Amino acid sequence: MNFLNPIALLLGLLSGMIVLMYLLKLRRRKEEFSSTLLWRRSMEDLTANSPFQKLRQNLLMYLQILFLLLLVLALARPTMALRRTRGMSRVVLIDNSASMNSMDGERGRPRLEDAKSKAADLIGNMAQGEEMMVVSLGGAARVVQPFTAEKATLHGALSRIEATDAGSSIREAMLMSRGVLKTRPNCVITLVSDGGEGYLGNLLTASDPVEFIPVGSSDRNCGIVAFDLRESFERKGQVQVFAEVENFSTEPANVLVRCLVDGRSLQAREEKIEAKSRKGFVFTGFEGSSKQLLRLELETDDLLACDNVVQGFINLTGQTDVLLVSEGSFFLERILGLLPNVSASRIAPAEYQPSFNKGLVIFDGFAPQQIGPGRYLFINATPPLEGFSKTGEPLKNQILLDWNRLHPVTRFLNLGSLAFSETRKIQYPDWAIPLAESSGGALMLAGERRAVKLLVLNFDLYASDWPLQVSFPVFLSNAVRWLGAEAQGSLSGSHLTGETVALPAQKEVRITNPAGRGWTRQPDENHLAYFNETYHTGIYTVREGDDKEERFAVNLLSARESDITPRQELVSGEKKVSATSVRKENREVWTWAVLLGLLLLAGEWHVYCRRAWL
Amino acid sequence: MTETTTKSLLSPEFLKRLDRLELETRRILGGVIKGDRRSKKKGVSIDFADYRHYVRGDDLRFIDWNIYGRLDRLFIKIFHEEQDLQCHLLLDTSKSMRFGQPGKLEYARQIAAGIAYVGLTGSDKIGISCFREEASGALPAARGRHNVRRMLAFLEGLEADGRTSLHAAAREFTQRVKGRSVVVVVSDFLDPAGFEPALRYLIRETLDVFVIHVLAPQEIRPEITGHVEMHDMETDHKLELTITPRLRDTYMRNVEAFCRKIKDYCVRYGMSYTFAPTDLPIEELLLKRLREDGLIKG
Repeated sequence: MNFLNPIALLLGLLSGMIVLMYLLKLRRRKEEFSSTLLWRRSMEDLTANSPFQKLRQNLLMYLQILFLLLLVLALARPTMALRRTRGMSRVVLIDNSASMNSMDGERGRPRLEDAKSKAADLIGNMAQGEEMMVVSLGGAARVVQPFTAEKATLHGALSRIEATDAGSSIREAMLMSRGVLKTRPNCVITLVSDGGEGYLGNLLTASDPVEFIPVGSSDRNCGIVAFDLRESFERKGQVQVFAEVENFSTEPANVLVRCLVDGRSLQAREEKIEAKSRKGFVFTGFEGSSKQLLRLELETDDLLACDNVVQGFINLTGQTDVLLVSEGSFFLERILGLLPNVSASRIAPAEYQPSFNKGLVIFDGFAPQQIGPGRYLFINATPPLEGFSKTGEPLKNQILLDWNRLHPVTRFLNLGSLAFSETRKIQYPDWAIPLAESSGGALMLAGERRAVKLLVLNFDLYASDWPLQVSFPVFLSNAVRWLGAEAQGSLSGSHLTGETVALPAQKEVRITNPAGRGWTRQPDENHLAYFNETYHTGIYTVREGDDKEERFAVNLLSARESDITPRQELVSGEKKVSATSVRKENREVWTWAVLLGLLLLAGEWHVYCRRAWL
Repeated sequence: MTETTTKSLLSPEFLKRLDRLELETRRILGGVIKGDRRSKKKGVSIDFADYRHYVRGDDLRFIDWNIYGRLDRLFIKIFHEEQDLQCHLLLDTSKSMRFGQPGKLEYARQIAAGIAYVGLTGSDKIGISCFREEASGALPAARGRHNVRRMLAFLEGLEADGRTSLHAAAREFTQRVKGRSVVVVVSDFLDPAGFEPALRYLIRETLDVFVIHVLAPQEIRPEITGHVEMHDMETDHKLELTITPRLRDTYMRNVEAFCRKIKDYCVRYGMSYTFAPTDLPIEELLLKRLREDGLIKG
């Protein structure tokens, strides 16, 4: 035998109330009296004189009739229009990304608290038998609570969701929720967020059962969205710091950007940034040395704090070793030879061994069977990694549609006049992002996963006019700088929130985040320890043993997260989801009738015990 | 022994005061022997009442020869006959008489002792009957001061037990007692069957009935409040009550009505009713109230 609603068995505890009534009854004081004759007569007189005498005489009967009516009512399964959910199960996606830290919630609290409050309302309105799953989106999609009908457990899960300074994994969470829909057709996905269109892309279809509960009320925010450093070409030892600050508000904003090295304020600039526009800041003319902490602070009156500070460590030493695996490439060899602080060498594809990996490896029209940890540029070759594959016949007469103008690799490039003869449709994993796209698919991909950082050019360089264009050496320079992150004249140890950091280590390392919380990680066979709890901005400390201590910085640097403009609808592909409030629908309330009946039964017992209601 | 027993019921000083009293009746009652009391029955005594014509058979000693000398007719002198008094005390000894502080039985014994003492010292014939469900534990009627000790000992030995059944006790008493007499009923009259059937048995030409209604102050003005399980001392019935001030007021009004009802009944049928709360000093009851009600004189 099974129970559809085993929680109802807890009502059996009400028998304790009956026992209590018995005990209370026994607590009547015993009094011996000469005769109860006159007392009985007095009770009768009092009852007879009462204006509600008849009612009182039959009170027990009325209570019993009422109890019966309530039971009948319960059997009729009454429904009421109450606030409730549409389906029998619900996946609630709680956005705890960086933008949800904006302090424009109710009573000046963060948006995340508003989101939790709205999710708590959803839990409160759950119907009997309805189940809910809670997923958080900050940094990575995490199932905070698998499907359950227990409200207390769900409330507990809500309280466990912490704020992060990371981007939103709404796309990943939506894909995961779609998997749930296959096994639960009567399920609804509810996103409680301040937006997320940028992450979703065209993911949603018209048939997706998605609800959107918006939070947030203001767009008042300015944030540092780009940050870089390089050594001055003119003066050795001098550094140049670049930053971009964007005003996402519809009102102009005055900002003060201060540059600090090791806590010492060196320069500051005050600017007015127009609404919805971006302004660059360059700080030059000061000496810097490796491992100094460079920090930019943005002072302005806005709602989100985590994008007002960026940090990184100055790196002015060493040079980048570049290994070109090619049958021979005039353009590549010449340009690599011209790049400062780059030591390039070439080998034939047949000579390549994975053990050669020291710095950056460029595969020109050749891909090895496998690659280990390292930095790679694949030119007209498919990386031997899971998720990458080329399909179909070569596509001819394709044109370049657009390219990413913000990525460090494609920044400052003008690819508008690029002409290429053919390309092939390439499949790539989620962690790779297209930097340039043609009508036939991605032309340029960039990605970083664990200890592999790579760039892919999906066309034959020599069947295009790119090497003859000005943008090509700029691209190669950017590519070497981006791939060789530890090369000179750059920021080292600077990561984005939510990014997995590969830490060189010989033995167990202990990582402490800016809030003082610690984790330990073991290095793998490549002597790399991977750490992915980078959900908060700030300086992380890595301690290996007792004597070796390193630090790395984590920054937000995300225009998507800094743009806190609240959305009232969610648009993704053909799907347009309007803001949803928790809806009212018919809901069975027979349990209330039964509960009321049980209470009535207790009352009837009380009346019976008192006998005379005087 | 007499002194000890008497002391425990009535104080010697009080007994001395009782010595001066005698029982009285409002009716013509006939005792067996001639007593100290002038009866309305005409008979032999020194108190002249009237004349009547001589008829054959009259005692020649009562012919008034002076009248015969003047009128030449025979007249017989008629005198008030002085007779002794028969008094029966009916004492309620049911369980309910245990109640109260002071206890009702204790008070009833004092009343009975006082009346019996007055009667015995006045050469009246005093009998005591206790009744529960029926008259039981009777002290046969006796006359003379020498019976005081026996009477007091009997009263001392009484225990309150059993249920009140006034009706059965009155019926049994009227079957047993013949002739004219004073009947004093001392009871709380808390009989579930009511007091009327019992008193109805006592409505007789030959009986002069005095009803003494004994109640404890705790019955008249109870101080119980709250949720109680009330045990009836006689019937052992349990009554679950929530005593509110309203219920208590109603109860007190009912007590008053109960007493008034007994009194009205008594008045209607020529009986005397005396209300005797146990906090009323016994001296005041015997020397004042019962004097006013005509049971005791002197």
